Amino acid sequence: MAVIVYTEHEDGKVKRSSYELTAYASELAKQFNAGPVVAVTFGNVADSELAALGKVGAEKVINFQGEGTDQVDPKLFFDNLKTLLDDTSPKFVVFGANNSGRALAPLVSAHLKYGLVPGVVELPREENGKLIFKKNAYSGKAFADYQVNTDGAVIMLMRNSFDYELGEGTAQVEVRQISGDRAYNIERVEKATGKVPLTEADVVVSGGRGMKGPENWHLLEELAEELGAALACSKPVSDMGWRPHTEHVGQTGLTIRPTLYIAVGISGAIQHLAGVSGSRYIIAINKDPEAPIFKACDYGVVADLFEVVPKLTKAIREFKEKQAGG
Amino acid sequence: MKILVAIARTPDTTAPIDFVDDGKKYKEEGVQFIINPYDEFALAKAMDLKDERQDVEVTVISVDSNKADQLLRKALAIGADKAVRIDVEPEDAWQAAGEIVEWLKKSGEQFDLIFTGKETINYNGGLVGGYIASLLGYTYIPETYKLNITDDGKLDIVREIEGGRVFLKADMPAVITAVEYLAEPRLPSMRGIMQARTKPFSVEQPAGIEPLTTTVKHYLPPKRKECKLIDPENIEELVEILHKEIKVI
Repeated sequence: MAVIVYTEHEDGKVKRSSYELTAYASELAKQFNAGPVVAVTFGNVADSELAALGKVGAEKVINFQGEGTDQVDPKLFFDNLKTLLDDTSPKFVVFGANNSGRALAPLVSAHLKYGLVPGVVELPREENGKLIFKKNAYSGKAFADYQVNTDGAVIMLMRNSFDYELGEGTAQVEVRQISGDRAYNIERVEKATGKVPLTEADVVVSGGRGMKGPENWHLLEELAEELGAALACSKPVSDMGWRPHTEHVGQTGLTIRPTLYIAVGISGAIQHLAGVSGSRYIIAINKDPEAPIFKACDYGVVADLFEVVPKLTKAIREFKEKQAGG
Repeated sequence: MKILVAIARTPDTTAPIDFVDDGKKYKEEGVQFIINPYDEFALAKAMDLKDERQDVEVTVISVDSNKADQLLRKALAIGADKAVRIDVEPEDAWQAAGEIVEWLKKSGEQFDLIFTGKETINYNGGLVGGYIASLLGYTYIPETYKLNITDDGKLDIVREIEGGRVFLKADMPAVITAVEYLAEPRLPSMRGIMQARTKPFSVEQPAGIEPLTTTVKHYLPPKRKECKLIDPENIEELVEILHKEIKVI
C-alpha cells in the first residue's frame, strides 16, 4: 500500500504545485489509511530540496536521475514508474492537471486498470463503498462528480484546489538511475519568456483586444512586475500574434486557477471566462460598463485602461514602498 | 500512409450549459453539436498531410450513438476517406479508447498515425490518446503544436508545454494529440458534401468495454457575488483590497 505522487522541480526548486499535490496525497493517505506517501521526481535536484517534501507529509522521495530525465518522455518515465507501481501497489497515484500529468497519468491508469479522474478540485468522498471525486467539467463552466469503479484511483489535481500548511518533517531521499528506451529524441527546448510560469502563478495579469497592440504590453508587464504575476492573454490576442499562444487562457487555451486574475481590456466572452472562472478573485479593468466581464468579476474598474493601469501600478509600488519603509 | 482521426461530439462553444436527469446528463435539447474543437485541429492536420503527400488515406472514427453521424459526414465532406462509428455513447475515456482499440484488432486495420484532440471541451479529460497509445504500444506524443514528416519518414514535432516548447523527432506509428493551431480547421466544400455521400461509412457494434469511471452528476459553479465597482479616481481602494482581502501585496 502507498500513495504515489508525481512531483516536479524547476531551477533547482521543487514547484509549489508539487507541495500542493504532496499535501493532497498525504491527506488521501490519512483519510483512507492508504499507507506511506511516496513522492517521485525526475531529473537532477538537491536532496535537501526533495527532503523538504516531508513538510507536507512525504515519507520518501524517489529521484530518478540520468540522461533524458530533464524533459518528460512518456515512455522512458512511465517504464521507470512502472517498477515503482508494481513494487508498492498504490491505492492512489496523484498527478497535477498539467502537461506532465496528461502525458503520464493515462499510461499509469491503463497499466493499473484504475479509474482516472482528470481535473480534480477536492478530496474525494465515499458513497456505498465507491470513491467520488469532484472535477472540473465543460472547461470550467461546470463541475461533475465522477465515481471511480475500481479499488484504486489515478488523480489529476487542478492547481490551487487544496489548501495546506507546511509542517515539520524530512522525507528520505533515494536516488535511482533511470533506465530504458525513450519514446522520442528531444532536440531542443525553448523556454517561454516571463519570469513566473503561468500555471504556477498566484497572480495573473491578462490582456485582451482592448490593449490595442503588442507595443502596449509594457503596461501589463510593469503591473505584473509589481505583483510578481505571470502574463496571460485572450484568444484574439494570441490569434493576432500579439502574444505567444502559450499565454492564451480560455476554453481552447490554458485553464488556470490563480488566487487573483486581473483581466485588462478583456470583454469576457464565455469561452474566455471558462478558462479562468476557477480563480479565487477576478478584477476587471474595461472601459465598457456593459462588458460581460463585469458580470463575472469580484471587483471592476470602468475606465480607460491606458490611464488606470499605470495609475494602479504606481499606487501598488508606492504602497509597497510605504510598507517596506514603515 | 494510413491516418486515423478520433473525433468526439461536444456542445458548441457558446451553447448554454445545463443538465437534466438529476444532473447526470447534459441538456441536449436545442443545442448545436460540433466536432470537438481540438479534434477539428487534428482532422485539419490529417487533411494537410493528405494534400502534401500522395499516399495518405484518412479514416475518422467516433464512439457514439447516431447523434454523431452528421459530424462524421461533415468530416467526410471535409475530405476524410472513410468513417467508422462504434455504436455506444461511452461513459468515460477508457471505454471510448478501449472500443477503438478493439475495433482496430477486429478489423485488422493498422494506422501509422492516430490523431485526436488534446482533450474534449466537455469532459476535459485528454485521456483517449494516451489510452490508445498505451493499449497499442504506440509512441505517445501529447499536445502537439507542429508536425511535419521528414523525407526519411520521421515525425518532426513541436510540443507545447507549460513554460515553453519542445522540439523532437519520433518514429511512427504514433498517437498524436492536437492543440490549437496544429492546423487551420477546414470547412466542407459543396463538392466535398456531394462526394461524402458515396464514401464508406460503417457502423460497428461495440465490444462491450466497461468504463473505469461513471459520471454521477453535474452542477453549475456557484455564482460570484455581484461585482463591486471601484472608482478609477480612487484606485487606492483597490490597492487596499489587494493587500487586506486578497493578500497578494
